[in-house]
Amino acid sequence: MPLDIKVYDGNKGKTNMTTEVPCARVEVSLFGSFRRYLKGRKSLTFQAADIKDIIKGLPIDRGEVGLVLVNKKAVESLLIVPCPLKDGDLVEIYPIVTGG
Amino acid sequence: MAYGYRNRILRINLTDGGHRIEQIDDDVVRKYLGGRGLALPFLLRETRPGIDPLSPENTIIFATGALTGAAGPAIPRFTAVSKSPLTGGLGASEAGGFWGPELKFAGYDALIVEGRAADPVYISIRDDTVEIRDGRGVWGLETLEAEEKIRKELQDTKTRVLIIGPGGERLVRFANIGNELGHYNGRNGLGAVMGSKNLKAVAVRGTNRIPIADEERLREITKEFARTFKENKQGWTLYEYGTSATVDSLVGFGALPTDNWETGVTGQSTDLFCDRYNEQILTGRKGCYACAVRCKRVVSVKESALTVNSRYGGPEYETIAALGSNCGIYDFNVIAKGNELANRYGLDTISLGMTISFAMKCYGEGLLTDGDTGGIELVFGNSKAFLSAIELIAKREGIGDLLAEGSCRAAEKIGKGAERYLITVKKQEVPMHDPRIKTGVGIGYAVSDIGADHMVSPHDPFFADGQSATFLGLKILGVEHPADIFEMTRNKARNFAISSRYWRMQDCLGCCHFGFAPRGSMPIERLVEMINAITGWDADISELMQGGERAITLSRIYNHREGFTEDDDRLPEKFTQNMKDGPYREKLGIEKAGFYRMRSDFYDEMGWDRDTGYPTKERIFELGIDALSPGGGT
Repeated sequence: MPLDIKVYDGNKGKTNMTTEVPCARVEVSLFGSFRRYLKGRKSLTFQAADIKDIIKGLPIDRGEVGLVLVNKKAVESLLIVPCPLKDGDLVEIYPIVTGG
Repeated sequence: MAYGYRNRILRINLTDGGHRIEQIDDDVVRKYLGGRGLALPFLLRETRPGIDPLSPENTIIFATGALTGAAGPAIPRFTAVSKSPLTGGLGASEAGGFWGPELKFAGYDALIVEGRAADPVYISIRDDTVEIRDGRGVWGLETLEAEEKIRKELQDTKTRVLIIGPGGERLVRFANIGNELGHYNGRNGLGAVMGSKNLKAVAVRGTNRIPIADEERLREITKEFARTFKENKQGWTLYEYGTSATVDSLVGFGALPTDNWETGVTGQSTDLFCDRYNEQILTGRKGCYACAVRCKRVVSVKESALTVNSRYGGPEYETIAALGSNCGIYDFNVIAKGNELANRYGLDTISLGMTISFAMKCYGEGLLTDGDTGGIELVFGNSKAFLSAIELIAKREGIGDLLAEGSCRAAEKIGKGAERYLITVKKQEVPMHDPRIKTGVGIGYAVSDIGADHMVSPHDPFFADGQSATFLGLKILGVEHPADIFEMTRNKARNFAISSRYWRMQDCLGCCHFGFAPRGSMPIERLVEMINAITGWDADISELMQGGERAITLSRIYNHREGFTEDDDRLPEKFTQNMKDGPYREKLGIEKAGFYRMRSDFYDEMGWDRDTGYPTKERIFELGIDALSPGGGT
């Protein structure tokens, strides 16, 4: 699947992420099968106001995210409740645990 | 004319050396679908309650499904069914590979093996030619050597060999049965049943095409699957990482079984991430008959004193966790070696890892001493001790003789409260999925008639988001409302009951769960179309799911007559405790009252008595299996 992830580059300015201001600048780590969206990088830098914006900015569909950690804390009720971010947050996104 | 299946069962008696072919009607296949469903009526009718699973009175049945061997995607499987020497209840374990299809090519839907040979033998089936051959020359050999020798003796390099290793010969209670060195009827110790019968192997070669009702449609579906499965995230992941990607997410949750489930994450857990597996040991991929997914791994060990024969395949998720983190091992080289040894000797890696981790815990707590272990320092993370333990178990030498009995029986012999370190259900060690982050999996562990099993139903995350494609794809089954992974509600019990019928249907038909929604890429509607294209049936999903339910209910009936009650449908105490570390530290211990209420809800949803878990007379009658239920239900 062709990917065009817009990655924030601190030296060159802002990305075109679909977020509304005010945005926070955060580091995003991806795991398991999501790792391919890193394209070899260790993490991505995003500007985003809410975790949902980050997920929307990745080729990840509903039902594929199993767990989101922000600064090592689990985000509850990701589907309905706003999950605001602040500068410097470390966001980790894990796929669902499917077994087998 | 039947399509997809052969209407024939081969019965071999090892005591008198005789064999005969029995006919089964089309309506029997359509009613029971195959696998456990087809085998259980024979097991119920032909074996007495209370027999010793390792006596000649026990029978072992290898049953394919109605689809097995058709040239379609993800339908290579068959089930080994017997009384389990590990649990004392139903033994039933599926395997993929090539042996099931070959049995169909030879003209049989199932093979029933009775009695016990006086000396070691193996069976050779070439279409209608059935021989019981002298097996003394292969008895004692490891699986690869024995397989090669059998092929040489039969002068047929293409014969497919179902085989046990020295573990099965020595009646290790968690010995497995393998085919093609990479596919296993892993659980329940059914390799020991073969060993008890002096049966080393069953070599099969068939030359008859399986008639297909609509060949063109099957070909179209197969091509479409091969072209599109990687567009599905589950399908792509299975190809790219096999099942190893599971590690990453569990580390995120702090739920990767570690040090006999003492915790769920350590500083070393990330060493087992799926990209490290691919970087460090992966050299290739392989798969099963006619399947494009190729989820099986080929590995080689580099830069290590260890050598691993890549023909034995690479560790899958269950093995990575059971032999890895659960024993404190974070070196893929050592895990690959442990996997290779288990496959050489024919041992189930889940029970093997869990029994060694139990022994490590007992050693750490002083319940096993150096005197008991023969000087082996059985501590978590000791690679040398870990690999020695596998060898000793397979050979039943030293401490290995005790551990070859499985962790439950070992705990009884050790005494001194060792049972508090067990994590088992019906004497079978739990697989590597933590029910605290997937409570439906906990119900699966508790109610599974073969002991703790993680393949009872699709796991909770598939039901968590009502707008997800996976959830919407399950609605055809009758699933209505989503349920959060942590919740314990009637709705979750209902979803679980519905989808467990669907998964058992797949098992019976010969399907691999990795091919079909929600775990695989093919939508359920297309699966039903494929079933009908192969068999010529006009079945809908509800009829087929009832076939799955019939197999589940017969399993209940079998276990009930063997003395199992609702008291055996338990959740291990470990999971009532809070998580030790990770983002859910000090949280998620499963509340017992809520859990057992959900278990009763599950019984209800299955048409079983809410308190006893025994199928009701009405349900047994509706399923048309009342003649197989001595008590007729509650």
